[in-house]
Amino acid sequence: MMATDQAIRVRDLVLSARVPVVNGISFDVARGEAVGIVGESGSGKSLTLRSIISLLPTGVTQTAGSITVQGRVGMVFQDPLTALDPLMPVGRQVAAASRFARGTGRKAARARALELFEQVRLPDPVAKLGAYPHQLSGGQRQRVVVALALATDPEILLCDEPTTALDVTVQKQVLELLGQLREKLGLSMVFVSHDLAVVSAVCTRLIVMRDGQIVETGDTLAVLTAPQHPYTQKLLGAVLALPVLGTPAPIPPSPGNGAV
Amino acid sequence: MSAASEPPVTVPAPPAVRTGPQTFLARARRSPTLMVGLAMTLLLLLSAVFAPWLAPFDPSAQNLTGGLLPPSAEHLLGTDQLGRDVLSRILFAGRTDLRIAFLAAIVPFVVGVLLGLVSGYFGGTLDYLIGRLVDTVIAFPFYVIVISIVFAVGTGEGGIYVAFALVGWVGYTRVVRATTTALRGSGWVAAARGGGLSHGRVILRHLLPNILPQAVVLLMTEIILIMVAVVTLGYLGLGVQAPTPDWGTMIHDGQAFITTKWWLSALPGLAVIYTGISLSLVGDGLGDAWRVR
Amino acid sequence: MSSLEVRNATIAYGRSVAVTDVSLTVPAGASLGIVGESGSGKTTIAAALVGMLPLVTGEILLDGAVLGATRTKPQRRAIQLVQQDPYSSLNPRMTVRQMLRELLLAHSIVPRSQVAARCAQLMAMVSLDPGSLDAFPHQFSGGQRQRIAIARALAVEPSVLVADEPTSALDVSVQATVIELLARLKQELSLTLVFISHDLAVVNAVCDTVAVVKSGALVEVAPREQFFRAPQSPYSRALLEAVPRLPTR
Repeated sequence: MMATDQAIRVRDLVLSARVPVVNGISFDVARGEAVGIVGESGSGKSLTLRSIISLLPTGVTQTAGSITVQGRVGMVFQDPLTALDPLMPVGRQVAAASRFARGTGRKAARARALELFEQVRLPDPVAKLGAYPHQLSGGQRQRVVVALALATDPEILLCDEPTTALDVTVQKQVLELLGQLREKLGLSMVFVSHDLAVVSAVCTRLIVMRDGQIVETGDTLAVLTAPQHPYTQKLLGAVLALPVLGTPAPIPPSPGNGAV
Repeated sequence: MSAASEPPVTVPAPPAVRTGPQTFLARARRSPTLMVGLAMTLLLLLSAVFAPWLAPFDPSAQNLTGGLLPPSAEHLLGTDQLGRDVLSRILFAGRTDLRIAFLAAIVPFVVGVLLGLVSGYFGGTLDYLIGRLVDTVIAFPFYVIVISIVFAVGTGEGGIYVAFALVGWVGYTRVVRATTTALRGSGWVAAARGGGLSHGRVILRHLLPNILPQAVVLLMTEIILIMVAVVTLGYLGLGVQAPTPDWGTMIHDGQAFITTKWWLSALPGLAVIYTGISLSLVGDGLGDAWRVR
Repeated sequence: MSSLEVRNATIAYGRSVAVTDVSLTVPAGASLGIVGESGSGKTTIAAALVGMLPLVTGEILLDGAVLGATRTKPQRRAIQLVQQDPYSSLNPRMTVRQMLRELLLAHSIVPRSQVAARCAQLMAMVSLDPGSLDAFPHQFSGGQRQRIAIARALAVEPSVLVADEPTSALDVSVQATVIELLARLKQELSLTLVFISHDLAVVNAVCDTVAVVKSGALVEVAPREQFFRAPQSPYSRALLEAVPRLPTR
């Protein structure tokens, strides 16, 4: 029996593909919480995420453990180029998802698509309804993917490295968007990434995975400033430092500026 | 805080994903197709090589009174219309046909692979010209060309070698060109050129080993095709000439007796089929063994 | 070590111009980081530097001498590239030893009798076990493959090393070790280094000068410390502000 304030509950999950790739992990996601799962390649973080909605690749199956989900789930994928149908206008894709979720007619679905495009801050949303994925920039495509995830009115948002393929300036905008949406819509979120800094920007709690197991979990700030497990320490140690950015010098007044 | 340098690593630290044998020989041993194919081919080759010792009779020795005898203790597969021992003839015919097929396969293989490499690597006009040459040759039905060439050059072995040298390279060129074009853009090709290596070196030392597996598998199929063509030419009287035994002429000669002494045609036919199967299995098996990762 | 200079280079892929009128100078023994987002033209510049792409206009100079459209063997040897993808930059059918040996002999780096010793030396230089010289690329991990690629580049004793996003395809923990390796090699071998990256933190770790490109044009060039503390152009500032940073206490 799951408590009503729990969105996701994973117990002793084992995923196997001839050998176990996720080997007995357990964690909870509370309603409204943003949990980050970090790890390197082969840690099993993506597979764990996908198992929540049974979206496992062929050859990988859940052989033990349980996953309980309370609420509708939407998923934001990593690569917008493969997540979107290249032959269909993006407005139609989002409308189709909305129709499927709400069972409305075409006109209502189109209106909902427009509403979603506005929600994800897509510039010139009306024009974008008829645009094809290749006509959009990387950042715009990813916003469409977020809109697609929201089209089903989810209560839980799963994000699989949603900004890894994006430029750093675009990444910042998409992360801000995800944060704002989460607050506004009260979503629970599970965010998978290999980038500790990215995850710390969005999530309040962290789970660190290695080779199919959870090695550490805790509040984001606690894990990042005082890591307990040697592997977490190693990951943090490997993050290259960036010097502190100075504040920009004030613009000197120029003639005719009107400054007094 | 910087991470410590990675200590020297002993290889192979097997990456988690890769299961299965890592060397060519290991994979080869695990391929039942290859093992069976090699066994069958070995048997074939041994019987051809040792035909003079294995054959109970001289294949050309006629015995006009003992013609068309059914299989017996003395003649295990019977005799043909001229009293010659069928078993001996099949063994010696195999010797002839296999020799011709293997030899005739060499020149097309070498020429075809080289043209394919050059065509795929350089592209441009050279590729275009070779492509048009390929199109021209392919436009003609195979047997029409082969028979025409044999008519022009003369029947017998010589004609067969010339015919296949002129026509047989096309299959390799198409396949090798396609793979070479695909590999041409690889990082390691750019690295080889960037390292100062010449075009020739890159083609022969870097690209060739990567396309060779595919080409050798095709070679197996081509040998079978050549074998069948040799037999067909023999059947039509345009190939190996009497008295040299040849499966094709044997099939032709046995035609007249197909209703009564059906084995005279069927047994050489089976020999051809057996050859085809063994080489085909070897080709498939090699493909299995060469698949890296 | 050599100096490298790019003068007013315009580079195109077929018909579309990717880089317009870029000029850069890398003094001998220095390390330049070229930073940009996708489509900025930074990889195009790297390709032109090593001679893989011709210049439409402009010139590239090595130690003051102009490099022609087709480079000579010694010129190709002098500027080496470490590619981004370690999974496609090594010939799957050659062992490490064969790769290194071929280059050593082609340029007569050492006499034949010393080739084996030099191969072992190169492996040690990139912190790999010389015992694995006879293994094939697929038997190594991504980080190890990248080290092999570096060893291969160093085999011909270049004076300039161009690294095109050499760690982007690697895990974070492995990245740091490869970066450290490059920094150490630059020091020990007195190499001139040109480092292409989208990752500012990596550039900070390795380079003493930073050049920012955007849409095929140079936006800013500055010494490292100054760049990271007080970037001049708004675009550079936007880039630096956008990098997510770990929270501190």
